[in-house]
Amino acid sequence: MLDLTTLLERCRQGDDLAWEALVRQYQSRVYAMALHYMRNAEEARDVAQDIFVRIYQRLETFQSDQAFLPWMLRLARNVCIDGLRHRKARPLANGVAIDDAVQIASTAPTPEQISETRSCRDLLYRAMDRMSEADREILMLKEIQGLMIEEISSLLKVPAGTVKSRCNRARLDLAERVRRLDPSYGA
Amino acid sequence: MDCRTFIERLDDLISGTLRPSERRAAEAHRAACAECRDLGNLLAASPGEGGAAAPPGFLGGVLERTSGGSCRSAHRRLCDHVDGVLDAVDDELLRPHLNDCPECAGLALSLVRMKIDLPALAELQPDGRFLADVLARTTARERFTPGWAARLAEGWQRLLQRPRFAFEGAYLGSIILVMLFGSPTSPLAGVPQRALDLVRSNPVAGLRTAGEEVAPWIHITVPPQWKEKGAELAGRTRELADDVARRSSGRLEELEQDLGTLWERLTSERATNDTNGTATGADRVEGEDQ
Repeated sequence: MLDLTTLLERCRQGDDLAWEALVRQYQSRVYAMALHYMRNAEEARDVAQDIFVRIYQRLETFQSDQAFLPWMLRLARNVCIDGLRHRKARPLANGVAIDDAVQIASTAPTPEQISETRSCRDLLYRAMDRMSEADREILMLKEIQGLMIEEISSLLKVPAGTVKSRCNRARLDLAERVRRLDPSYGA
Repeated sequence: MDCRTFIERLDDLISGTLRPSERRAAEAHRAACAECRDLGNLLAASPGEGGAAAPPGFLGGVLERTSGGSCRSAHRRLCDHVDGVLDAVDDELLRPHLNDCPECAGLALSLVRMKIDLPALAELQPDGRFLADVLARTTARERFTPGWAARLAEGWQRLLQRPRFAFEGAYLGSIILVMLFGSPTSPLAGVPQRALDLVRSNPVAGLRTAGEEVAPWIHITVPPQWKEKGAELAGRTRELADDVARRSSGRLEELEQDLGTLWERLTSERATNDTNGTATGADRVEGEDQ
């Protein structure tokens, strides 16, 4: 697989194949992020497409010396927030539960593991659904997408200490909610 | 060593930090003094050895009556403990609590499990058409940066679609109104008050009064001006009519002459035609008879 720097350079030169490779490489991550914000598979799909269109348009503004993932997630977050605003203007007719058709991009080898992974994912999603948007967002950025505290601090424009304390609080909150739903979780 | 000194050094004796000479003296005193021996044995006995074992719930009861429990304090340290970044002292304080508190221990286990499960949610596979759709929406488009007009339009569109746009517009409008009329230093500060005064003072009557004031002036000023202008206009009309009559009279005479000549020619030619026609008709009748 090509390293990211080369891939990005090729993309900026207008190589369509490089762009396809980039989309292929990040589609699962971008889609997952869109799903976390939108909480609806169909909307998440549209928003994820919009994210890639935005990335495509702004790729020339990306500086080679900065990290790509935080840059991409920042763009993705902005598009998701636009999508949420748009949705608030025109609310969904039905609920916002995450669709069962969503598949985790892991390659679990056995049906039992697939089933376990799915039930675990559902449990976490159900617990997160009851959390505040702010807590869910910080969990998604820190614990799920794996951004550094400094990167989240820059993204959300809040001090690093606040990010850390909010994240820890959100983790504890999630752990308590998960245990209420399934007391055997983690045992 | 006397009893008082023994009691003072008893803690060091139990913890084994007493100097050898003092330790020997303390041991000798303990062997000799029954009271000090019992005290030493009582303090040195560990709970596991059947000494002063605390009853169940003792610690919880004490904490409830003093600090109110340490679970909240433990919660604050749990994430760092799970992440392995808790400093050694805090970690040492937390571990015994986790051993004794099933709620906090369960929470810690859940946090450990979440640390494994949550990153797995970072990637979710979209459906098979996703990649093709993205490529269709990007590679077929104009490359990368759109023009400033397109970006401006896009930005404006996004701004309009914001649900708070109407509120913000109303807010801005209110500020402008206050700046124009509301502040004592604003340029139109007195206008609302004057308008109110006008409305309250029966504007119809005001207009009538104003009309009555103006009407005599109109009556005095307007008629002479009208007369003057009317006379001037009539003079000009007369001049124009005379001019038209003067110009047209010569031409009319010429036309009359031309028409007279033409009429004479027409009548003479008609007379000639009538004479010839009569003769020809008589010949034709004669021929038919033959």
